[in-house]
Amino acid sequence: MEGTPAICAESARSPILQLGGVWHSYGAVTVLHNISLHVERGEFLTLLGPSGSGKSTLLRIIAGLENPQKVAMMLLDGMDITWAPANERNVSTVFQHFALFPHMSVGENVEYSLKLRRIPAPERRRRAESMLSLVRLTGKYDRRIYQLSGGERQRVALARSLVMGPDILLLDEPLGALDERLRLDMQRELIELRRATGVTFILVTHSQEEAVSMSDRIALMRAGTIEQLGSPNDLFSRPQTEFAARFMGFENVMHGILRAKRGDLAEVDVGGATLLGRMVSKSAAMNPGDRVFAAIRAEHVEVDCQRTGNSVTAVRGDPIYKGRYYDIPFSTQLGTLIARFGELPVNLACKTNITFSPERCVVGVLGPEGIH
Amino acid sequence: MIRRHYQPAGLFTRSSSLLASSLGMIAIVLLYLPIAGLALLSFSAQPLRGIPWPFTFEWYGALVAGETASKWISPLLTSISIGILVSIASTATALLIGRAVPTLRRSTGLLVAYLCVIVLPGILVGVAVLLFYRVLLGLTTGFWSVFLVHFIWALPFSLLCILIVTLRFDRRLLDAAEDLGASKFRQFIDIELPLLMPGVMASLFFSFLLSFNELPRTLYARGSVVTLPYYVWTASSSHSSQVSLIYALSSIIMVLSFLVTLVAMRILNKRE
Ligand SMILES: Nc1ncnc2c1ncn2[C@@H]1O[C@H](COP(=O)(O)OP(=O)(O)OP(=O)(O)O)[C@@H](O)[C@H]1O
Ligand SMILES: [Mg+2]
Repeated sequence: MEGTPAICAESARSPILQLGGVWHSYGAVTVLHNISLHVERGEFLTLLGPSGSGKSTLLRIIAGLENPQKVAMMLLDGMDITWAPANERNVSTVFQHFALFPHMSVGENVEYSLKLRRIPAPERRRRAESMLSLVRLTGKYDRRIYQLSGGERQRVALARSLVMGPDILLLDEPLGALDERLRLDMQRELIELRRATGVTFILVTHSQEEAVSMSDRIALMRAGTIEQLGSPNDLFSRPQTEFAARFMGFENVMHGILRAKRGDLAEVDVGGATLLGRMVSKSAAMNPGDRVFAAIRAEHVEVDCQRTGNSVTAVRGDPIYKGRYYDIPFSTQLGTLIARFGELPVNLACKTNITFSPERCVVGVLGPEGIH
Repeated sequence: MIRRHYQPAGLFTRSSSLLASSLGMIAIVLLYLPIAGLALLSFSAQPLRGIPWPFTFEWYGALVAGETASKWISPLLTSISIGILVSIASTATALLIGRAVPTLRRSTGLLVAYLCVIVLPGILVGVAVLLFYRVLLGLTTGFWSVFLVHFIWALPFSLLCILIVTLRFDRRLLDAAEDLGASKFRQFIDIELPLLMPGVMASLFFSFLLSFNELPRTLYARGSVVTLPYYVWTASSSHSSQVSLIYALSSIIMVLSFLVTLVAMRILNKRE
């Protein structure tokens, strides 16, 4: 931001939200440790993480509903908002519990932010109606809140937050309260809505499926820190840590010692057996002798196919029916490995060979907490 | 408002429901029989003999006639003005306290302290206030000391009315309003007050009635102020000719109170 003429072009490209060094604690418990995060204009960013990892707290801090204990930088659209109260920040939140005003009609709820901004009634009404039709609630303007279903309330909350034209829409587990079917519909609708409005979305969820299918980028959170930040594909196929691998749904995670590096591949010793895997941590950060993890998804473990790649002898356990597929645990020298089958394999011998490709097996260094 | 018809269930079997409704009827009769008797006697030519006939409008006529009217109209106005002041003051105070209570960590002790005043005998409070204010502090008794004892009397009831709504109030709605751009003031006016309104109305109404009907505390705090209950009490316990008038006056007050209650219930019921 040096030259004056460059400022306009600069601000159009600069991130809509820049957070640096955010710390927060409740009493003696520190729930956010030095969070730094840049969010691009029009991006769909997901904060993913287990319960209690500080996702909601981070969202409330961005909204201004919580004051961070310490913060180095907090810029919204290039402006410092560190000390701006919530009602002066142009961001809005869709709460998990919706927080619709029970004494107002659907229309009054949606219009509330416009009323606060002294927009004349006919204009308010017009914008509220068009927002309601965008969330497919045409004609529900005069309804009372208690007359709506959970999914409809969800959409009123969305319309109420979007109507003021926020720089960023914050969504705190907005789909948590909905049934499976509705959740899938709403996922699609949210993506459409983001496209139609061009607003930056920051979504909080603890479902990795939701995160992977909706976002441009995912920030995986763990105990108040960002464990990994990247595209859905980055997180899904290249988790950097054991925590990330487990959270992204790798069913089989093994611990071992790195023996040797061969290009991208690593040779890992797990309980006396050797397996090959792809290194996800930077190659330079891994040295022979390091404690590492190796992770493989159940659908990538196969029975007796040509014995290429990693192959171990295995004793079959009892299949577990999962609806769309069966999971079968195998006892091997590497520990128990779970393999996934669309249909129950016929004539599966009790003792057999299972294989998995080194390309599908990720290897990374163990953090200090994984060592003991 | 959604009305449902409930089937008898649990303890409420058909026969026990019958018992409950007959007990309810007996209670209604016990409550209203003396009042109806009084109203009836107010039309009697010789009310002190307890016979409702012969029928007359004499007492009502006398009430509004110049000389007698001046005796009770000024106490009525005093009672109404103290009632309104008490009603507003105790509701406002209760609203302040009641909004803070849900945010406090340990509120039980505080609540007990506020609400205990209800169980103290009224005479005792009256004597205590008289002693404390007049004898110890040397303040004069009069309009404002009556206001004060009535305020002390009404506040716990107001607080109960307000707490019922503030304890149920979802403070997360204020977060949502703030998030949408509402200042603290707008949050209170647009969100909190409308949702607390049933409790506020109940508090305004009950504290007015408590003050309007108060006698034992007033006896000690009144100085030379005459409230309506005090006037009725002195007039009916003396052997003057006014006793007959009291029947008529009480009937009028009763009808008015009844109308006020009816209106208040309407307002309370309208808001879900
Ligand atoms: N108001 C509060 N007072 C004290 N501690 C709190 C408060 N709010 C949250 N915490 C604590 O802060 C930590 C992070 O909470 P937060 O709500 O941000 O988690 P989360 O990631 O949103 O979890 P979830 O997925 O369950 O909603 C938790 O350990 C929680 O107990
Ligand atoms: Mg949360």
